[in-house]
Amino acid sequence: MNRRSFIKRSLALAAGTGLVPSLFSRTALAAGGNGKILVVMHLFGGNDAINTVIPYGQTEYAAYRPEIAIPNANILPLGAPGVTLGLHPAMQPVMNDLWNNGELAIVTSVGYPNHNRSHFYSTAVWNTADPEQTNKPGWLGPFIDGQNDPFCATSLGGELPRALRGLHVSGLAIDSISGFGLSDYGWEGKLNDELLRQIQQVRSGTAEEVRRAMEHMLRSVDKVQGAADAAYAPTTEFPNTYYGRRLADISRLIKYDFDSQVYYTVAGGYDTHSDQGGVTGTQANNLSQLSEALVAFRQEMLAQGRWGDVMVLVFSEFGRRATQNASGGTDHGKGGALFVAGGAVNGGVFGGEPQLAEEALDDGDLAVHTDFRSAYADAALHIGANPAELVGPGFDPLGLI
Amino acid sequence: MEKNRTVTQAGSVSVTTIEAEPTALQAGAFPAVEAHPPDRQRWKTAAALLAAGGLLTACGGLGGGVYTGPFGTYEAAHLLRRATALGNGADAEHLASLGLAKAVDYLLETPHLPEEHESEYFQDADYIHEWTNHWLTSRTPAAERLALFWHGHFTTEASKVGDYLSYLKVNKLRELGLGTFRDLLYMIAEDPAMIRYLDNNTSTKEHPNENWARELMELYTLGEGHYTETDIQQVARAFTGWTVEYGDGRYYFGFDASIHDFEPKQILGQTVYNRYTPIAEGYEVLDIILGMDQTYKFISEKLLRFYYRPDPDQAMIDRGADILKGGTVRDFLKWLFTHPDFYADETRNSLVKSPFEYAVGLFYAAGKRAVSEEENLHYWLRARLDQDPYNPPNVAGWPIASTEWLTDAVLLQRLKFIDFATGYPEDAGPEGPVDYGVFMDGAVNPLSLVAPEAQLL
Repeated sequence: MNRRSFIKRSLALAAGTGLVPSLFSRTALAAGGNGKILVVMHLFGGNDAINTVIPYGQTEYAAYRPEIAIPNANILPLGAPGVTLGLHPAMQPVMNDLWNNGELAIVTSVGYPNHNRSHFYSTAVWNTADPEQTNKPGWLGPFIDGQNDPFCATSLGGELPRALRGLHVSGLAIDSISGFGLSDYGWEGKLNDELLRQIQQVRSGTAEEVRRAMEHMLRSVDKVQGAADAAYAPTTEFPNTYYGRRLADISRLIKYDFDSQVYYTVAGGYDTHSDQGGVTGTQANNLSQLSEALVAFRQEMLAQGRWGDVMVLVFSEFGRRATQNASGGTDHGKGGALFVAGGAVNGGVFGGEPQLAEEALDDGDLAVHTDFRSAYADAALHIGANPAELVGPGFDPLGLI
Repeated sequence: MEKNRTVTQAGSVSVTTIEAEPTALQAGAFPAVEAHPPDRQRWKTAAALLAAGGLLTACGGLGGGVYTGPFGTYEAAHLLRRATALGNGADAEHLASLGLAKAVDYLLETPHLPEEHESEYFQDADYIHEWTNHWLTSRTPAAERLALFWHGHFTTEASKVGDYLSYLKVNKLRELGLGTFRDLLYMIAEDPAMIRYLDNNTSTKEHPNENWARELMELYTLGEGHYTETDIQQVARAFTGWTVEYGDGRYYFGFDASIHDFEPKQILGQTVYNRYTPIAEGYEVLDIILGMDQTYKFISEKLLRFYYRPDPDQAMIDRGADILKGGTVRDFLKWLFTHPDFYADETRNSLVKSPFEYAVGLFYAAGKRAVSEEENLHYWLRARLDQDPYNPPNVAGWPIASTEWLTDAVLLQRLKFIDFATGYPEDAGPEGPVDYGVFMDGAVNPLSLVAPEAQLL
């Protein structure tokens, strides 16, 4: 008996006995969200904001970074009023499809008070929206708790980020659609068969609770696997990169009408202490992969008619030093750059031009002028949540979307 | 990759009681040691219990009677799972051959401590593997499960305080875990990881930080509802000046009188004021808390949820609290492990293994005694099984042995983990016997590991 027929049978059985599994009664409830979607992308490692959104009009820029400054000729000028900023050349696709269509908001000098230069500490701050990091659940936790539906927020890539941990309910973490399940072949196939056999033997006490949890898991697997059906394949070709595969999976789930209003994915590679590169090199490759995946996602969302419902929020836990180090890289810094993309986004630069003059820096780093919680407040509004409940009081949305 | 999978044919655990061979002493995979030395503290405990109004029965049990039923490998397997989270048939036979009282003494021997490394050592070694490997080979694996309990109780997150300070804290918890709650609380209040984790090093008379004060009472001792917000503010003031100092490559506990609040404080109905030895005010707060019965009820309940049943009854909680108040954690566990209800059917298989316990228990059952650097057990634990042993999810720690652990994605990963844990590279086989019989009731072969019982203690 394969899994699908098992699930069908057990469902029929449940319907017959009037014991409708809670999973399915809940789905009907949760489908009432506002229909908007938030996609959060964390560039883990600390993306160098200064070479991403480049203040190329200031003489300090090239002076601070003799080996890694992007030459003026290669920079993609934003042409935004009042600021002299340009994008890294690897972001040409973003420039063409997002910025030029007014679908990209850039928040500069973003961070939080008393910025911490530790990856883990700073990630915890961004994940909890609490710079004191007083050991809170994730910033999206209250939203997930409120929905009481683990499918309302899904992380792609395996690890469940703290951002999706609620006090009572946490989001769903899946490696990938194809990886969320025991394969039908080999050892996992044998486990699968034995699992289906074991699960039919009702137990008592905690063992019965575990058996039910296993049944629930199989149904979740079945539900997610539904998105693997060819009918939900994206019509757009996604690049075969980490971000490309994640955003392809997210597109599939959106097409499948999966319950999630929040999707979350984390990718590393931004901790460029050495050989960061300039026009080409490590950071250029990262930004290029990110850009190509983003424009493919936009294309697919347009094809699905959902681009106007989507808000993509891209952040990194901190920016990097203004001055390069001796290894052709940059060390951990403070102020960063945050991007928001989507069909309903108010394109533009929010936060002005980051200042590189020595007296404007904070201990050698870009000073923080915009609290990231204000950008989160926009995201909260987008998914129909109360911003104060998610990020605390006093953070007015920036009007990014 | 071709894997060498050993399949045990019959369940090693029999439902009927087996009289173990007396020669099984050397068979246990955690080596037999000399019998427990005479416990010089016992008279003190008894006296304290009498003073505390505890109940001493004629046969020396601490209330509720002592289990007198059969103690064969079936019962020993249950005891092993609860005490140590690992074991195999030989270990169970060894315990059974000792008889219940000596088996419990054996499990609760003075903890076998690993060598403590300098921080440089961990440039080439993984903290999680280090703990795992000690658990797998320790003469006293019960001390490891207990250290995990205390580490989840007196939480600190390495992401905030660093791996090394957390490692040192776990070492101290392992050493003191079986002692008095008083010694544990004094140690943790002075612990640099804790002081940094709950920001007491930034607490000054002008700006007292209430983080430590709040969690000390809410999570570590009394539980919510047994203190007021004013108590929190006053406790925070009493602890101003408790900080960390750096020297010889490490953080140490320190006291900075220049930031201490020298005014009198009212805490839980008592005055705390020590003009001449201001550091003593913190200890006075701890003593007030240690004098309250509620502290021991709170800890007793949590220990019982970790070692006994998901919903222990009030009578057990109260009796356990009496024992903790007058004695040691070892006394408490000895009482529990010899309690008749501990061997009841409703107790057996009523708790859920945490991911770390699941991983260590499965490794041991698969005959593994060490995790190599190439094996990414640390990644499995952090990213897939959802328990990074050095990073509890928040200050409240991990779920206590409950089905809360079993969310869909994690449950699926527990099944996928079976392949990782029970397979061997071509050039290496198991270092110990392959035997799943203690890891779970009813094991026949590795396929049995998909049964719900594999998740249970």
